[in-house]
Amino acid sequence: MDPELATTSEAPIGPASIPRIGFRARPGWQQAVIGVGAVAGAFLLYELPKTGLSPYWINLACLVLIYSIGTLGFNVAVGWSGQLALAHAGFYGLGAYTTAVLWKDHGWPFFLAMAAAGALAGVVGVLISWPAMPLRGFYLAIATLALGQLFVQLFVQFDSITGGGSGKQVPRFRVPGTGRTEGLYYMCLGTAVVCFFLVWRLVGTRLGRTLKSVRDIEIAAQSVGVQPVKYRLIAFGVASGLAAIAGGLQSQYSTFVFPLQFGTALLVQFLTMMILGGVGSMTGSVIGAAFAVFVLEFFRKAKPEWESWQPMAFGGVLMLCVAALPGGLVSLPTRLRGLRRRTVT
Amino acid sequence: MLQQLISGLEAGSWYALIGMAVVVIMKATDVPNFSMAEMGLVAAYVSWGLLDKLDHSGVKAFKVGILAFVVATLAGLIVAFALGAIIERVLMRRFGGLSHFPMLLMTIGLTGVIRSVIDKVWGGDDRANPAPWSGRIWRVGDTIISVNQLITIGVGLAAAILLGRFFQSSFGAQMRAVAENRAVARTLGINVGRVAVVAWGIATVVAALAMILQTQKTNLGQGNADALIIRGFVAATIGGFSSLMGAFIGGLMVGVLEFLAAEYISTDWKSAVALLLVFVFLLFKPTGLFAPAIKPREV
Amino acid sequence: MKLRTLVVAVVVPLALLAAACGESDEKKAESGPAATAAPGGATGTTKPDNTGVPGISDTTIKLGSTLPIVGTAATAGVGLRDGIKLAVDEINAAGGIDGRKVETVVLDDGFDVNRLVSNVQKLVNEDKVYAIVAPAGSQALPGTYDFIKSSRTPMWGPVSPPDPKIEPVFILAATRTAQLRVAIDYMGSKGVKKLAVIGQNNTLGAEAKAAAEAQAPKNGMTIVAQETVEVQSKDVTAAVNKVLSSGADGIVMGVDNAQAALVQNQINQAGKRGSIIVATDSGAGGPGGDNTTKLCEPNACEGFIGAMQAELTTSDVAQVAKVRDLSQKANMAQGGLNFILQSYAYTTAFFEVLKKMNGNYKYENFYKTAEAIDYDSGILPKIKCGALPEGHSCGAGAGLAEFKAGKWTVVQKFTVPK
Repeated sequence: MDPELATTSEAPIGPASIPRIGFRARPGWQQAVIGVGAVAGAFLLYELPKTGLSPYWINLACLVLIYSIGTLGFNVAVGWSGQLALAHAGFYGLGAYTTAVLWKDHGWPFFLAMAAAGALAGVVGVLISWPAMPLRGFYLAIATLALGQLFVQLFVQFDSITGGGSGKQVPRFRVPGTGRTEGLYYMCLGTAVVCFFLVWRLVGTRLGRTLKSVRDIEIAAQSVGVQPVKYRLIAFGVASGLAAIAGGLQSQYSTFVFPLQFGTALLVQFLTMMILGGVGSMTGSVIGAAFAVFVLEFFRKAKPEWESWQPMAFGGVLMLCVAALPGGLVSLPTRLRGLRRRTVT
Repeated sequence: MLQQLISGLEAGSWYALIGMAVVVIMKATDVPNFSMAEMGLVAAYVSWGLLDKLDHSGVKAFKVGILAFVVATLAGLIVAFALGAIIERVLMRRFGGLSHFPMLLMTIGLTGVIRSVIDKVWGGDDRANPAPWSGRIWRVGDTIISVNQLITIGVGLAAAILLGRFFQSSFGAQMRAVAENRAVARTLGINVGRVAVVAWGIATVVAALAMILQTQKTNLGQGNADALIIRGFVAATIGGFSSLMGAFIGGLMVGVLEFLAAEYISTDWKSAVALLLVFVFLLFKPTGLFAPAIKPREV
Repeated sequence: MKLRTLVVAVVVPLALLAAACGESDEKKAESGPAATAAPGGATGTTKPDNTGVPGISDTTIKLGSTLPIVGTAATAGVGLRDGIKLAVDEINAAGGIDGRKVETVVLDDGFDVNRLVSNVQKLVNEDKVYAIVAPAGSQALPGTYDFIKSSRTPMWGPVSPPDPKIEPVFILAATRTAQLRVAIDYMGSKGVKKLAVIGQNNTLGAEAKAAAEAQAPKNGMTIVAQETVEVQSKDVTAAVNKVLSSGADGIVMGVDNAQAALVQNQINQAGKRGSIIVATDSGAGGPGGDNTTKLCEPNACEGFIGAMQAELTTSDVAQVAKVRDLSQKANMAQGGLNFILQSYAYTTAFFEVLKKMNGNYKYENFYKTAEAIDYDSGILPKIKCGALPEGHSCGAGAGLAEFKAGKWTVVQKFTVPK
């Protein structure tokens, strides 16, 4: 499912060094093989609820799928176009609220509501990032960090729509012919397949290649007549849209949304998932999300008291990755191979 | 109105202290330290713990002996210096030279780790953290000024002046040289490592002052660092992440504007002010107020 | 175009398969109890048939709860857990219910929404508990109502949410709004004319506001200020400054313990203590304990009114004394004694319902029996539920305690608001 990953340097993450880790275009036949593989994988996932797994685990699988979509979006902005956009949790919340309001209060069909939330967040993302375009790197990070917090404030303030700080209950959308958990699972799986597929396609297009060149060598791109701002805006829009779609699913998962859900803690979680999985990698998005959900769950099952170490786990993993594994988990095989080769020769 | 202004200056002084601490580390080692307030909080806990030991009956009754208080506070500040120095030496030194974003992530991670440690060592309950002057007030007409408020505002101002002086000293010049260009500084014979350790130590002391002063007013608890670090970063942004004076003024500005917004708009909108202010500054004056001759850095 | 074809190629088969797939185990579970109800099962001669009822075996009854055992709300979570344990140990020592021993599964949610939601689902789907007792899932608990309604799992005595008025949920103590309404009535009797509200920007604040709006007119008061403080924030200064300049002589608060103490410190410094009556609900006041008052400067909390959902922990009522002794013997943290009392009372009340069900544990029988319950725990106001739409707030009254000379004193027994 993952476009080839090329890790050639030990360089730390960050716009200056991300370029060497990332999506790369492939020949058509390879893409076809990967496509078939992805579809096969999706069908395997599709069979998951029939393996007799308890709804509890299916539920966790839903959470993995939801976070995967969100992390994928984060990767589009940070990994793929090199913009340190930290309003991600805010856009995730915007999607959750928009979906909830359209579906619950305005009676829109659920999937239409979710798609509309994605589109709205995309547009808002573009509009807001437009004035922020002159900002680079770290300054953009600070601005968007504040923006994310501001979103949380707005969810509280517009209480006639959002229910304010008390939160909003969201009725479950029932997929016809399925049980409650199963339905949610298929909803998440279907949405994830579509999102990953679209992003995967996007990477292969001219737009995708242009984005990368803008990220890698902005000045050079400018000199050949590419307008970097336009492409960075598109990346920001796509990232915000994906975050919002994931947020829409989250509103179905928790059947309740309230502002503090979308604060800094969630942002840190997304950062950890992205960086642990591997910046700029689609597979990494899934791996990171699965880690965040399952590993912590195993810890909890082993010993409930360990739960309280969660901030330590997220924080520690974040530090460890930045320091020692800048390519994330997906870069491990490559790194190990490199290691072996070195020892053999 | 006057009452809100004084409250604003008090809160603004906390923000200013955190903001200046962030700027000190940024100037000397080029790391945007998101865990600044959390590090200061550790020192505040240490100081509280010592006070509780030295003056056991006193803390509960809110009457604290001056001597015990001075000893505990000084000990807290010394621990702060050590903590900052150790974190620099053990953690940051190894990864120094990474760009701002990975370092920001690193310190965001560190925040989580410190939070867990605080939770394990001191638990989740809030505690009263009294000073000898807790509860003393002056009345000026209708306005009430507490001794706590005056001391907070005074400490903020003193820290701003002293830090400014410090950066004009030869050691301060070395710091600036290191920030400007590590390699060149090294060839000039500056001990880059020592500069970094001292900068982290000093910054953590300043952050500890902010946290000690704040917890004297609002009690000591795990959540105290959260609100302060965001506003401290806003203050640092107003100082362009390089001007101490800018960060100081920035902090006060955030505090005062927040309280004025509460008074004239609504207490609902108070905390949106700081966040909007970041935008305004980043968009219209990204180099910040009083930016010194250091060229604004790109990532 | 090509892209669209591909999307369709992937999504359509998935959707079709999803639609065609068989019945899930959840649906089975949902229709289970009704479908397997044996005709005439509950007559006197034959043993009631409890097949298909989750959590019930011939020898055990399994109950669950989800609590914030670690993190910011740990004091409450640990206390509530301990109270459940005391009640369960007691009933098991006495031979259980109808010969069945009670087992419990208590999960920690660390005050986190997603974990709360997955905990409730785990309790129902994986642990297959009979009911969820005394859960305190922060404000996110309403997010699980839809689910427990469809899984038909009783939720007995969730700690301090508003009443959702749905079938499986039974609220055992006065809601925050009801408590504050009682407090406002009391202020009215003390001559308060100008009422101010300080609330968090969430449910707590909304309930305080609702109480003020309902009760101020009945007591001839005007609401002179409504100020907001942020969740988990220590910054109450701006709000208190405004309340003080509004000239209020009574304040109701929907805040947390730390904020309640800080508000009073500031009022005290302004020299207004004594001329302003300050009241909160039982959670923020912690009457009987020192959760709030230990954070006040000397004397700042004098005259503070805290509503009581249950008897004070210092009370010499027999039941309270018994629980206090038991918890001390079990080395339980006494800081959470009010929470221990609360969940102990909730859990024993639940056992009372189970005993009255005569061995027929079907869901329908449960909620009928629960609605008919009339039980005095000696700790809470009398528990009487009644049928929906009004009846699931089972303990309507609240008492009031005042913090005087460094300790809590009852100033008003359990009463219902005007």
